[in-house]
Amino acid sequence: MFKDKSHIVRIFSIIVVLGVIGFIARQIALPENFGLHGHYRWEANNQNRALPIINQNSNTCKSCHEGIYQLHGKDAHYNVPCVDCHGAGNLHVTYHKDSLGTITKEQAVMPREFKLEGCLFCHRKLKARPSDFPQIDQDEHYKFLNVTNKGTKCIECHSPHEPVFLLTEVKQSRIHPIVYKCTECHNKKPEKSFKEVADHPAIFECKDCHSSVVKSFEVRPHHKYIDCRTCHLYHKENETTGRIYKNGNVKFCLLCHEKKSFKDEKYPPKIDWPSHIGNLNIIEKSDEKICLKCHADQIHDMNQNTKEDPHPKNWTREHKSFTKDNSQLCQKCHTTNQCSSCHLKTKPVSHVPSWSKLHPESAAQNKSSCEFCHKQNSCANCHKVEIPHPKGFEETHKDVVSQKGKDVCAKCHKEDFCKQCH
Amino acid sequence: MEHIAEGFVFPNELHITWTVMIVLYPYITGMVAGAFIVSSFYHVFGMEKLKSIAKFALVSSLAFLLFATVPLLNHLGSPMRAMNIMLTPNFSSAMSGFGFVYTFYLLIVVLEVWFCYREEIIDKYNSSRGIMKKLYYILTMGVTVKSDKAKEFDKKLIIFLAGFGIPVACILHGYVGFLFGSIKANLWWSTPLMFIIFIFSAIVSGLSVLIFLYQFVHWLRKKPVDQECLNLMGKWLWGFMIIAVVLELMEVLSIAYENTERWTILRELIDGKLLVSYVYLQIGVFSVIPFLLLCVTSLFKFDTRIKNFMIWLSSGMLLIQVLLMRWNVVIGGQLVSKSMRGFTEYFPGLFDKEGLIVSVLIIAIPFILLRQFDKIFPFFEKHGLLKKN
Amino acid sequence: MEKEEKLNDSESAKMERRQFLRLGLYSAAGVLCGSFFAFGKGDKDIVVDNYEDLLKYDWGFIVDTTRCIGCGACVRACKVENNVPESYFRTWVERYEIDSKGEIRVDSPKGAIESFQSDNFDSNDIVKAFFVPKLCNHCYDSACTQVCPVGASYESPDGVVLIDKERCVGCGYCVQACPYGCRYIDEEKGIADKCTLCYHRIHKGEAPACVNACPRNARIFGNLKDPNSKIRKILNQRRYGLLKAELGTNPKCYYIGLDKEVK
Repeated sequence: MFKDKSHIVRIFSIIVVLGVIGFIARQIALPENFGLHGHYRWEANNQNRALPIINQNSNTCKSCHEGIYQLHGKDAHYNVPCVDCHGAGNLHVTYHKDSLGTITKEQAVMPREFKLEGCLFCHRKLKARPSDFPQIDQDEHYKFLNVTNKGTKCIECHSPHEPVFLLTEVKQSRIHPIVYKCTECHNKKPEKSFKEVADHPAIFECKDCHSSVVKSFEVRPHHKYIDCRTCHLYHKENETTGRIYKNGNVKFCLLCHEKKSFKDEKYPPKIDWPSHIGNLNIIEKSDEKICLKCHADQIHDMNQNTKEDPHPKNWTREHKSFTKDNSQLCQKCHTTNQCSSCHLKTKPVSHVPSWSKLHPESAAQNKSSCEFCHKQNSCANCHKVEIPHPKGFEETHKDVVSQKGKDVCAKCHKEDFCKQCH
Repeated sequence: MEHIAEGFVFPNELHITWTVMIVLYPYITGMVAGAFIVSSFYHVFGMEKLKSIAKFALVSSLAFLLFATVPLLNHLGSPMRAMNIMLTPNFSSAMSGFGFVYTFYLLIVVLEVWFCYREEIIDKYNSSRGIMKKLYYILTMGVTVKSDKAKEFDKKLIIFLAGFGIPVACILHGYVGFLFGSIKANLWWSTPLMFIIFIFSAIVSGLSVLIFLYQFVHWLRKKPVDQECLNLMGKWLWGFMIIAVVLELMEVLSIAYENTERWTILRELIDGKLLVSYVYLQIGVFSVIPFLLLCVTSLFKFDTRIKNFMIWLSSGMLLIQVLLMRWNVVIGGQLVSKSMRGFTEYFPGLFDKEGLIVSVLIIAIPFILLRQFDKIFPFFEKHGLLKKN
Repeated sequence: MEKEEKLNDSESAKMERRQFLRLGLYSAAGVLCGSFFAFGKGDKDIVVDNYEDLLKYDWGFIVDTTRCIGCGACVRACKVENNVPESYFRTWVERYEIDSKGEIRVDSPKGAIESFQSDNFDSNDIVKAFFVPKLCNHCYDSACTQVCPVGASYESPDGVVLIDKERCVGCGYCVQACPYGCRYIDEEKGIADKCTLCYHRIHKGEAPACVNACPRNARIFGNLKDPNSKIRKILNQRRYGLLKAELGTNPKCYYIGLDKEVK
């Protein structure tokens, strides 16, 4: 019986033996500390941890390049780590820290020549980029700046460590600041003004170019509450002026200046809308820039006097040619009988019978008002001399007296006038 | 190699990870499982009609099984570490069972083959000399005496092994389907139907390769075939291919009908990258034509020569169909980006490590091995002699 | 300045304590290499030698898509730091552009290692566009570690999905299983590879290379187990999304400002 099954017994015992051998082999071949903390080799965790660090932290760079690190930390690139432009730097650091190492000096040199493309990685104009991030359309930018060589690198003008503040040669260019607030570079608002910090990089300000506007704006009582940016978009390359938001639309002005029940009555000055223009009887309501029509010159200089005379100082003289072409425009503010207050057909009320004696006083005060009716040289008709007397007349009056006689002087001056000096 | 992607694919998806080697692996194991199940029909269920092909089925199963791992090893990034899968199997992974299922199945097949051929090995031992005699002695395990009682035990064991082997064969191959079907990340693979499809297509490929070789060998040797056996096999092939193809189509249909997010991209896949290999070839040519041919051979009686040719032709076409199906599943699934926005491109190079020439070699070697095996222990000898006499 | 805060205070306090002890020991022993040690690892050295120490950490990641400018500095830094093969990426940046007709174009040329060229659509026609940096999500229930047949891919005690490079057989199953396309087969080494959150850096007090390189702080990294960490505070304040949350992988990389188009 057993004899007939012997081959079966043999083959199955071989299988069992092979199985046992296999099991023992597995136990031997099982890697050390496998399954210690889960179904994996625990040592692998340490091996993964043991790899060398390649990309250096900017703090490591700082330990040698303190100066440039500080400079870089103050400008718009403050958050761009050194590795982004200069490469990983592991060889550089190892070479300089461990002079006995195998790294050659050539390997330790870090890239400093930056290609145009390198800057465009971040700053090429793309729709997908957040719109508040500075972006350049290279063609537009170069066209704007009249750069003819398309291969011109950004670093020809922009210092990579202080990109906002241009290199000295081009500091005078028309580029406007893109840093508006301290907090755009600093994490917290600094206590001191940048002017009080000795080595603070220069900052372009509005007043660098628009000094008169900014100066007059600053005397406004409430300039503390709003700044240039409240109303102005800064120059962009495809826009030519620092124009007002919404292009001066009346609605933008009214956001602050319209009377509403929920608003503070006093500040800022409010108007009833649209009765304000209704009262003034001025223009069509469809005109969007209506506020600017009258108030354009008062926006920065809040001096209320200008409201009484919005025209330039020599306006009385120059308005003649202007009114010829734009008589309707004048009528937006002035009624037609306002002309006749100056341009009279009869003698003015002021010209009382004794006027010939009284007129010198008012003529001295406001000679131009005489010129509404009288020709410029009409004084000479009676006085025979230049009125008022030109400079140095004290020296030359001798000749005039001897030529034209004392009567000429006697029209204004009393007889004892000469004795005051002579 | 230039990779061209359509739409958007994740940058890591430009190169596909599983190449034509992973197409071959389920193809080969499919034939293994299919052939084994056919041989089990005879051994376990006593289908005498299949007797003339049972031995051949069993041995070809072994031949393919021995080479099933070759494409895998060729594909592995670190083939030297292949044994890790037995050393530290991670049982949360579907793949970790591979080592054990494969070994277990190999054991069953080897044992069954050994029990089937034990007497013939003893005969060879008795008739050979020198080194060959020693080799045969080892193969006999030192038992060189034949006895009727031992033969009876062998037969019982063969029935047991064959019966036990059926579920293991299904597991071995069904698990390959599960391997794909359980990948939730892949839009084209992820379906519970996948492993059922794989089992049925395995049986189709197993039946096909047996019919194809059986007829081919008999035609080559100018010997008549066992017509009853062939008819039965033809009918089975017909039945199983219907189930397999219907399942494949139902899977696509259910994805299409559910009309979820993934259908939008899978429709593009079927309509674009897989239009030729899936719609035109796998379904249009290599499924419909064999189906029609097998309909005719199964349902009508006519000249056996034409009938046999039609069965042979359809078995050959179904072999290609299954290969195409493996391609469309394995490669097709990887062409779709996980971003659901595009497709990558893949075609194996000719001379690559995982290229076409290597693939042809891997497919061809089991057949060469089978030929060598046939020289020592002829599969069809007895039957052929009977017919001759 | 920001970078320094990436490791939170309690960690640094602990590190200082350790550093102090360590330096004390070194000076007592008269070991000169103490200074070298202090240099190499910076002033914030986390020394973790045992399992229990690692359990105090659960490294998480925030990607603020609203801040990303798509410069690709992270991709470049990662390539160098981890020696990533040329055609594969551990992190990359995707660009999404949607035009007025609702058509969507997504691209990531070479993973954005050289940033992006011009807009894909007519610039004036784009109604919405944004960048999304991607990296391994280090999922709590990662599909990739589940399917690794040999236990070469694992989740470390401090919550980082890592690969045992000595055991990986390179079968590629994990590459298939990752729904995010974050894994690849390194053909040269014959193993799978992926983002390690710069495991070698984070244990030496450094931020991962991509975080270190980001000029816009669009990437934030920290310990989720520390209620005072920066990452926790941000997660408590901001609204964020997860990638493919429906797959149940439970990713640990939180995306601020995630759009529905991002998959």
